[in-house]
Amino acid sequence: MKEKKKMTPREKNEAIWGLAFVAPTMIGLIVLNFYPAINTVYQSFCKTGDFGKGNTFVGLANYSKAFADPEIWQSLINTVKYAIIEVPLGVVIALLLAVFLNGKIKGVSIFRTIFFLPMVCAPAAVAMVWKWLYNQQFGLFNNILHTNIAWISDPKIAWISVGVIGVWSIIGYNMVLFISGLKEIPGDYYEAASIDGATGINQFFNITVPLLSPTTFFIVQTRVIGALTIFDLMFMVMDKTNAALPKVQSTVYVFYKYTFDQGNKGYGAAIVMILVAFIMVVTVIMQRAEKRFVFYN
Amino acid sequence: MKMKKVMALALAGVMALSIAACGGGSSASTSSGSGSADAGSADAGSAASGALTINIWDANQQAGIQEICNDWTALGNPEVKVEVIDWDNYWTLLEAGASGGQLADVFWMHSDYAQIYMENDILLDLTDYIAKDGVDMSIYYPDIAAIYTRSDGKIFALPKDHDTIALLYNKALFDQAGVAYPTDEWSYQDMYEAAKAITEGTPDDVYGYALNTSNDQDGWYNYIYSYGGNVVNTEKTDTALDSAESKAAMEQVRLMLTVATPQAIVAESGTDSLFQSGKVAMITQGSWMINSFYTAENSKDYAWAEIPYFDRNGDGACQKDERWTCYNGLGWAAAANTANPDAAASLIEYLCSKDAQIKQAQLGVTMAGIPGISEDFANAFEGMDVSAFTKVEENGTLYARPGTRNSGKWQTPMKQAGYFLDAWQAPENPQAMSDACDKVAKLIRDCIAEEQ
Amino acid sequence: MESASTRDTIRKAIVYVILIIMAFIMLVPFAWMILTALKTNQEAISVDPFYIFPHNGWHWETFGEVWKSYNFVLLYKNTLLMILFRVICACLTATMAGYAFGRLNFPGRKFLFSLVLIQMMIPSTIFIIPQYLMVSSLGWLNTTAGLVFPGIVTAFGTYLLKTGYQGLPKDLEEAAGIDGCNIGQKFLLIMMPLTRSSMVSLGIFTALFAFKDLMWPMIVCSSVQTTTLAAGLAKAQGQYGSNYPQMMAAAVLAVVPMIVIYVIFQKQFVEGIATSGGKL
Repeated sequence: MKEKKKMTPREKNEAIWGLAFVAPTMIGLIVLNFYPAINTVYQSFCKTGDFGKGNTFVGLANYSKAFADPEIWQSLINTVKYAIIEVPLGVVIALLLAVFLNGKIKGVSIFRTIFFLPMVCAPAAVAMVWKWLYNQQFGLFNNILHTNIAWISDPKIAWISVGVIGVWSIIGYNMVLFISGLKEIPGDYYEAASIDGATGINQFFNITVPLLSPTTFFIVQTRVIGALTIFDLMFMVMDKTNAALPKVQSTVYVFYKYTFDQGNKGYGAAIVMILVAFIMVVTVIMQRAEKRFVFYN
Repeated sequence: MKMKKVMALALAGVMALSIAACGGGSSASTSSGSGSADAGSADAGSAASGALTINIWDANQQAGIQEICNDWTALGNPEVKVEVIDWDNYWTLLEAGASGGQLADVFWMHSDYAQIYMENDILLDLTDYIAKDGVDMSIYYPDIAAIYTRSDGKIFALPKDHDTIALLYNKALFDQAGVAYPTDEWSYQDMYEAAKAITEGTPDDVYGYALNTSNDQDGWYNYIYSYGGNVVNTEKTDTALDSAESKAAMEQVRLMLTVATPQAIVAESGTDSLFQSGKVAMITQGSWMINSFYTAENSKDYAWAEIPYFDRNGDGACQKDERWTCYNGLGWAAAANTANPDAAASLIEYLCSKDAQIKQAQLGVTMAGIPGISEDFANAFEGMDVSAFTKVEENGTLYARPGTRNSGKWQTPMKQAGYFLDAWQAPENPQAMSDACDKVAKLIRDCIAEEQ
Repeated sequence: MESASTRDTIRKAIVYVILIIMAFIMLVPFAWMILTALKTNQEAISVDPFYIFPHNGWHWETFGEVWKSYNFVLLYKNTLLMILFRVICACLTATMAGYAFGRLNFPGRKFLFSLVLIQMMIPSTIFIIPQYLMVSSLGWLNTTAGLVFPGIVTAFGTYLLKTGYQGLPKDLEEAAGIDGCNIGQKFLLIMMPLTRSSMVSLGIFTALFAFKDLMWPMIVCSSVQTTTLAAGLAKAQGQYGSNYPQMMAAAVLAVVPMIVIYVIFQKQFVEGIATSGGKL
């Protein structure tokens, strides 16, 4: 029989305090996050009326429409393609820069400032200037290189161009995280390795990479989710009549289009749910990878 | 002991209060020094101060409209603040406001959306005000007034203006290619030949014409109607976009596209930019854009001609029903739940009164919603002859901008991939254009069916 | 050892070269933003000749024009208010909850904390529609309250602070307990001040991401009077679409404040981001 343990007055006191302290956050999370999440799920089963008046329950209609809609699938592919550019390149380049800046370099803080600068800029501004740089007629790139490439209008390469913008924006952030991770690796490892005759590159792959893996994993995980939910870049860089748009628009972009442009909140909700399910699957895969690849001290 | 717990809860309470307070506080402080409050906020205090907010989407018209509103204020009325929200976001955000019950007091209404707003009682019913104040509805363009009259006869907006389309050309480029300037007797075929000559007679990146899928009202719609087709019939029950006439028109558009700036470039830079940078010799544009070209750096090179016609009966001359221009009229509407219905209605009546309309035309803001004021408008642009916009009203036929109950559903997609964009990307292929016509026709029919 | 040091020098040189090239690449867009803003529209769209630098003088007045016609004062103010309140709310709620999760024992503690963790894993896009409807029915569209709404509590911050509190020595509380403080006093007077660095991290993290948020301010604040820099700039593109110097000037004005703040508080920024990342 389970003994009902009575709480001492002191424990009771602590419990009251504890609950009171977590109350604002928990209430907030429930009201602001959990309830909306459930609501979105519900909405995905409904057809929204004009101006949000009158939701009619339609069961799986939104989902079957979404699954049959090639636009949605294409947007998932686009989003994944974007992630494929942003995450690996963002991580590798940032790691390289972090390793460089971790050594004895003059002007470390200046370099660090410069590399981090894109991170503090509003994405709208970043998108605007890159769109202008990429402009086929008047942009800097085509005029300096004397080419006539449709950087953001050619469906074959537009997604790469947008990916580049993503990489450019995120390098500084990843780099800062890497630097702090690098600082935690004790110098003795490297000294010992040097004595044993290991070259810089050897050291990098056998010491740095494994010991940095928790940081690397953290960055990869957050960036993957960040990349899969990308919206700002496509929204600002691609004009609505851009021929490459269908091959670049992300799933969140499509969500925005249906929910707010066309007022079809039910369909938008279904799209979000599909994306969320996809992200959950990816997260689980990453968790498994973590167990295999990440080396915790 | 319990007091500390109370303190924690009080902390939470203070937070909540401060957020509510800063909600109200910010709306009061975001108003400009002239004391007009943002009527869009939930702050009931704005009703007491009585100032009105207006939303429009054309920055070009802001100054002129603000001036006219100030005249109204000077008559002993509340202050007015004119705000601009760009076209791309205007309707998304208006709908957001309507769903949440918060709108500006007075705002522009457009034929594309009038029906859905009227049917859902989002707009203030002006019928009684009109009757009470003796507003004479007969002075307005009847088609435009009709747009804003609901099926049960109630009126929800007053006509603010009307606009027509004309042909804008760059004299310098014509000279460079040695081509004669457009005349009022030009047919679409003449325009094609001139465009071709200019494209061939100028450096590689300069073209005779530019047109994007998004230039509908100011562009390819007019071909369709001149050729005898339509985009949406007047009863709003069907489309003739896949008829022989419409297809012939779009075939002419296709021909133009073969000598026009490639779509990819136009999509990135816009016809206006390309024109102003001297990369395009001709574009068609609406009267609401005149100011932008009038104040441009090279405006002395720019001139306007009447929109071309299609010689349907082959007699070599332009009959009235062969030259068509889209015309649209915006309406001034008020929110049904505005805090100041009387003031809003009064402001609307003022803005649409003959005097204010004349002033609007004189300021070069737009052409009036009342016939007969064209000359004031024409005179507003000293040094630039804009008579092309008014002459077409005598020499041509005006057709109301095609729309259905929820036009947004087909108007955006039809300009994108899978519809007309595909044809624009393949101008050498007549079949692509014909297929696009079929697809868009189906899109429109599906949307109409959904609206029933 | 001679060859080793030459190799070293070469290596160092390569590193510097790469760093400088990367720095250049990072800076090119900024430079182009400013240069375009200083040109006239004709110069900006002139292709032949193509101007890198402004040709007829540097038109600083474009900034003034855009500043006025786009009401940058309001944009700055709205953005600042939103960030301020979000940071305050996030820090307050997170530190309280973090302390409780990290140091106190109460029924349901594990379950509630797992809710916190779950929230961190859910992509925020799923919250938007209902949050929007809530804000709209509260009448908070176009208000600072509406902008702050989603950021009032933070699961991430709670996690961060919990870790911070857990890292503090166990004995502290007991020492204070002997002196007759109750839990609330212990928290306010002793524990909270000790997590300063975590709070700073959280504050910076929150501020930065609030500043960059685009979709939420765009849908909540349609009026240019009440919207933030990020959304206001997105709208400017629609309005000034074809006047490139003006658009670039608007972009410059939108990024300058954060850059200035960043340069001044660089250390805190970098530490803040690093510790917030490192803790997880």
